[in-house]
Amino acid sequence: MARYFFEIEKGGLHKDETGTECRDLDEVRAIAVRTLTGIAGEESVAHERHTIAIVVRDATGASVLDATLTLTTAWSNRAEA
Amino acid sequence: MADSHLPTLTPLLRKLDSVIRLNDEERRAVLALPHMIRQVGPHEDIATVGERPAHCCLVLKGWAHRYAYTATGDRQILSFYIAGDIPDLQHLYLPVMDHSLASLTACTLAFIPHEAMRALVIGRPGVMAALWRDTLVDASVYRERIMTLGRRQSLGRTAHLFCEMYMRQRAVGLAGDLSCPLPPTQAELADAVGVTAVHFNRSLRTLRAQRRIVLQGGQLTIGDWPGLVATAEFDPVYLHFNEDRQRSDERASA
Repeated sequence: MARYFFEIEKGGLHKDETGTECRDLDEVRAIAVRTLTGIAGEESVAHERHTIAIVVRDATGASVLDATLTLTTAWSNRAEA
Repeated sequence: MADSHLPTLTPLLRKLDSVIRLNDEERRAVLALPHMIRQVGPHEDIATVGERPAHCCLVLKGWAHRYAYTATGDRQILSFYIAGDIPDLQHLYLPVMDHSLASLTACTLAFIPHEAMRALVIGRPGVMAALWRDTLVDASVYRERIMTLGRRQSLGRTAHLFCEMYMRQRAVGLAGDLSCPLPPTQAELADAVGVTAVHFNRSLRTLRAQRRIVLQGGQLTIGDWPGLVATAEFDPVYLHFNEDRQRSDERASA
């Protein structure tokens, strides 16, 4: 178990001061992916194109993982309101 | 402690009182239940999957929780329990534990033998109804949780949990003035609302930025109750507090 820090980047960087205990690197990636998809499900609904990124750092501050999710929606045929 | 002169099982009476009105004989019988007191530290198992409990566990002080794990080791916290709750009441009639029950904080617990609980309800339909009501409200809380976890996003789930834990503590005299203890860690709260701790922290920051709540040192302070209720889509009807009392009050005023 080790503590990793997940910084969310979405229109500005958000530092993670608490960190999360992870069993191994697979869990680090799983948490990053679940966080990105969870936030996208919650916050991307009103956007046509939405990018959220997470940088994971270890306790020394070194970057361990970069994860980026871009969600794009495009209407095929919709009259302007 | 201001409550030290009160009978040990007073929290149970407060809990039953919050759902149904008992008569004096019934109240005395509840307080006279035989029990064994046990102090447990934080995060100690009280009963685990597959066990056959012979006692009902009543929380007198502290917080307990029900939880289960997936095969890959992810925990879901199923529910939190506070003073006055009997989290394993269902095992009076369902012999085998289907989930695990553990303390969350240090707890004072009272273990009441199943035979004593069964004897209590004989000839006391009011107590029988109170225990039924308690179990049915537990089921109602689970239905609300399915709705929340299935259809609300992290922000709504978080706000909903805060509304519920405030209302439940207020009903048994443990909270007031829009402030209540909330001892679970952020990781535990995240496991209760079913999101990652990172996502939970984001929701918490949003609620704080909107001045809905402050969560600090295990104490929740609600700054904007109507706003928090709106974010949560919280309707306390599923908690079924004091419905009996309201009914008899309505009769009295009719």
